[in-house]
Amino acid sequence: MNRLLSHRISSNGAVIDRQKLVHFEFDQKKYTGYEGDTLASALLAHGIHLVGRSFKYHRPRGIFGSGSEEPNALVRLIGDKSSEPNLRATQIEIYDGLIAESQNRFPSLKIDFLSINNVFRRFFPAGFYYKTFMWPASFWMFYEKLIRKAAGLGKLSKKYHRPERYEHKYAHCDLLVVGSGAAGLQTAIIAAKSGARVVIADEQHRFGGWLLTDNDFNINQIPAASWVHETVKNLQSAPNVTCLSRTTVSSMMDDNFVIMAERVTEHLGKKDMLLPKQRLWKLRASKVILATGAIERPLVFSGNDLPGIMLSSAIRTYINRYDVLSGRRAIIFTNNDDAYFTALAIHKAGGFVRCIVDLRVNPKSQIITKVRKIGINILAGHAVIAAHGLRHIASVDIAKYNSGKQAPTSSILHMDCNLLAMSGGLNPVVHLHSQRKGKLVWDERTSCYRPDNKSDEWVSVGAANGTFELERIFIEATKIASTTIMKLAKENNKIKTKELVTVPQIDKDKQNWTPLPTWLIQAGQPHVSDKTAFVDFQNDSTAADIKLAVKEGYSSVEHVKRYTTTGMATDQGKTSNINAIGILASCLNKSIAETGVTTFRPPYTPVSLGAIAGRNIGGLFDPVRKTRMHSWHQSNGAKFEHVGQWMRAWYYPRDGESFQQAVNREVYATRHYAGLLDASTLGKIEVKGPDSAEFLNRVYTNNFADLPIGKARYGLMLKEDGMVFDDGVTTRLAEDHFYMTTTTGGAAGVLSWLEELLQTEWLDLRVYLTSVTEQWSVASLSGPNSRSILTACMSENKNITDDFPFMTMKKSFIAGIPARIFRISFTGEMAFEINVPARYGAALWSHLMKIGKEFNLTAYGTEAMHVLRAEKGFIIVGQETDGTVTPHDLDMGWIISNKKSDFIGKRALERKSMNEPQRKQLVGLLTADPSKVIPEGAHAVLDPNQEMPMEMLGHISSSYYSPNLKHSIALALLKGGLNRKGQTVYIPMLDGQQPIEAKIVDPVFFDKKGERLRG
Amino acid sequence: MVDTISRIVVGCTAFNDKKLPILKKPESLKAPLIELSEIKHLGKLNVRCGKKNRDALGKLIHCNLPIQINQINSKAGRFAISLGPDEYLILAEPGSENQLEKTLNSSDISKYISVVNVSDALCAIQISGPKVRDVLSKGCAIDFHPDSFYKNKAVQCDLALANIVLVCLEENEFIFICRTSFAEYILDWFIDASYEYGIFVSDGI
Repeated sequence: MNRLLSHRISSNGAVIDRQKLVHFEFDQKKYTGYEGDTLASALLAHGIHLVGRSFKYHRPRGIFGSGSEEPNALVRLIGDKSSEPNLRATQIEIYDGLIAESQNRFPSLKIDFLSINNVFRRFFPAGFYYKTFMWPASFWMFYEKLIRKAAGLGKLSKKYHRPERYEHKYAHCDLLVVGSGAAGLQTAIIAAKSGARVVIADEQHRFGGWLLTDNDFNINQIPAASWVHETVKNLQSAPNVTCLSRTTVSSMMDDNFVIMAERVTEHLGKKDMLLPKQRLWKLRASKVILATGAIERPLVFSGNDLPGIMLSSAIRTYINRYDVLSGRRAIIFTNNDDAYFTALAIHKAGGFVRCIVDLRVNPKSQIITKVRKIGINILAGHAVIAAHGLRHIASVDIAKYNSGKQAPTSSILHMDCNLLAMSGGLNPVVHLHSQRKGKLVWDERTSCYRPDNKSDEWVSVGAANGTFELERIFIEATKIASTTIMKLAKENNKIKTKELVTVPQIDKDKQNWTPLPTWLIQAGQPHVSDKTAFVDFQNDSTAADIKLAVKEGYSSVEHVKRYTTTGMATDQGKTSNINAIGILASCLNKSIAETGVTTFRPPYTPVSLGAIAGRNIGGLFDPVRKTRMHSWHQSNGAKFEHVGQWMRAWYYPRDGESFQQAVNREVYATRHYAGLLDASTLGKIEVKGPDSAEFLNRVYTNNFADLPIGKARYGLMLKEDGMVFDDGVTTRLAEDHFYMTTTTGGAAGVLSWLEELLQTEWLDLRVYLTSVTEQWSVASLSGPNSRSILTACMSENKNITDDFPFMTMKKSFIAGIPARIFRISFTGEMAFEINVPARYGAALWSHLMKIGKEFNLTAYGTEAMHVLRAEKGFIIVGQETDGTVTPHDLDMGWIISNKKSDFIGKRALERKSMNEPQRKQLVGLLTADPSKVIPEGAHAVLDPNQEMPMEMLGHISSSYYSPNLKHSIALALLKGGLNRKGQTVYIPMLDGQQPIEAKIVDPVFFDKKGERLRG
Repeated sequence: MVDTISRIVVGCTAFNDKKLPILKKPESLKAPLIELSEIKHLGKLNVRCGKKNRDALGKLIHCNLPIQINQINSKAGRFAISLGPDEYLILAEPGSENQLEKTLNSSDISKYISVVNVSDALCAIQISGPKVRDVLSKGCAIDFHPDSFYKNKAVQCDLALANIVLVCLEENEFIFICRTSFAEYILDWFIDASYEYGIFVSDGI
């Protein structure tokens, strides 16, 4: 208990609940804190500053800030089944049972072996990796492993299964207010009264922003904290307002599409929650008001990264919000008035402020007078030129300092302390503005980059806009809220503009917001080096690194950023960017405005991968589509394969058959008796309208205008580049009505393409397309016995099967089910594709299997279908073609009509290069060893003994064992293949295996004349 | 904790004889806040026609085709949903679709229109309950504010990873139409998305 109280001060009206003790663990040690504490505040309450080791030099690092700007205090949270690295201790709310551990140290925080890097830091300058590990080039793979181990931040959980729920949510609003400080609350409450749909989001666990830290004054004659409380209550009770705390607006994109990560139950640390751990919001806002506040800048001097050196505003926050005094002997180092409030807070909390070191020579304001009256020593025109200590700050060197000349002008004064507050001015949080490609302008008065506020879609207000004095923030917020509401009201008549709007009045000590920009404190002492004057704490880059980069010739801010990695860590340089630009500018003798600023990119703070995935995991990762015959396949032991989103029966192993045995049996049975394939997934499109024939003539290479009613024709579809795009059989049902089939995988793409043509190119054609892929279930009955089975199944007109020529269609009834029967074949056997309305699909299949039993009917899967069609040399679009194959390459010149004046791809096919004899052309391959099956995708060469890299002739597109030929067969696309028939090729193998020898042959291996097909 | 009160085998057409947990409800809730059921065997016709024939077609269907897109008209158990400038989906009482298709295809205007029976290609699922808009907004980018998505409005949109036609019947009552092969996925998605509210899945109407 004693330890718990060591840095807690008496209650100050803070946000923690002293009645609720919380137990947690950090680095295997047990601690307690109070409900409302962050991990950082609870650790500081125990006097713990040191929480991590730095990225490159493994220097000890302490808690530095109090919010999302924190560069040092990155910890790993350990759960039952998973862990999450790189979370900011300043944003983790503690709960009972929380287990956290520090990162980037081995074996422990206090003794870290790799801190040896710190001793040798002069050997690790900017660009160290580029300079050192480039030779020999092949060694990089080796170096990389070592570097990855030594550097890096945190460790990922090895278990990829996360038991927690992460959800997504879409939302829409008229106005999004980002941030709930003075500016955010004021704009939101005005908007709320207008009736507009408002969303207000804040990354912290409660609304109020800096008013939670600085509230020692009145707003509208009531205490500031009460004003916040009232305003938030009004917002929460307004039906048109959605209040989202613990919600980080991480990205703002075109058209005000905003991504927000809400920590819904994460802070409770409970399991079995109905609500998700996090919710990722995808919000569309008509207007956005950015009231994101500002982040304090550190000062850059030697040793400024020691634990115990913190942002002045953070120290004040820990006192006022969490009743935690981070150190009892404090020194304040500042270039502005704001740190004086910190001095007051420390003094009030019972700490001893040894002195305030102010870079300004003659600072004057109401607050300074007040501090002076208390008796705090102010050293104006001075600077801290170095800090000393082992694992915590112990003392500082102070000297008179001339900011203009950038040099100390007096002897050094040593002073001991255990806390140093630093304040180098404020940076507006312009990240979201910058993400939307908003420009930034340098403001000389306030020494900061602020948004240009030129957009109509979003606007920054308050500290985010470079307005730091509270009175002015309220005036600005009121004005901007009113104008935004006026704009919204123009588009939406439900939004009222007449509500009385008043500017809140405050009685706060006036401060003088004119910081004295001083980017780097030059020690001017031989023993003090700026190699420990840190600019980017998370990436360990120093003032010396930036100077070196300039010396080596870098001048662009973007290049220096990348070369020194300043601002490239997970905190995206929230505390470092402007200091780096300041130092760069003075090295280049340029102004900051001339030097320019880098761009902030999403996300504002890292977003958990779990939140990005949401519920699109496991069975919901991708829809699985099944045909109506699926249950039959399943109960008959089918193995399935995924074709696009479809699940298709692949093969049906019986009694311990292997894959090959089952496929061989199915192929054999289909050729000798009969086979049945579920072909329901084929794309099907109804083409209707007076110009349908003309339309088909334009999209297929062959002629469809002359196709008689009731007849079917195979067609090849090209894109404008003359390459094969899709194929299928189209049947004429009536003069103005066709039934088109497409490949399974291409169905959606073909329909979109055809619709695009009709809607954008051929507006004159009166044609309507409707997808009926799922309206019809299709059973493909194939083999010598197929006609007999079909006849046996017909419930009427049994004789129609007698006169049923190849490539025709008949409508009839099978087992009472209305059917469209097509005599078409993909196996080379006599075959019938039976289409029935999908509700009868399962019944049709069972019936055919039952009747077919006495005819030796065998169900076959997609693998057998592949073998059967390959025996016939039939192509599969997407397997024999890859978007670079023309009909001529497939030796299918016969399908290109010479009579038609035009079709898509015709012009491209007439280009000279399309008939170049050395194009890859489709051929068959027969292996010398009939049992050897060539792997698909392998490459063929003429001479297997040539030097590497070998000259490749082409690749194997399909390869199977054919049980009917008792021979391995393959289809290949080979350079000049059509003229190479009879030649021998070799297919080199991996792993030292002998190359496979094969002969180039015609791709039709079986029934070359097609006698079985026409039967 | 979610507990499964009972399991029955439901012979739904769209759900492929999937074994459905009929009621999933958090213990803390008295009743589930979402209900879902399939409207089985509804007749569905995809109709394409230009402005000229719109009124004539409406007369034949006994339900006027909506003039504005994203609207529905309903009359005597029939719905006409506008899907685009010249595309409509007609929902008709089960079993009436074949006759309706014949009537339209043998009419005077049959040359200029396209009528395709898609009763088996699509399925219709009804969802309702006080939290139905919240569940939909977990997977659908449409604005579900009642001022924006109101009675008799229809949209074609994505729900999670499936394409649907969504129709608002009452403030907290919707039907959506999707390709039948996506019905199982959508059902799984809905049960999952309703986790915090509880869902009652019924055998279908």
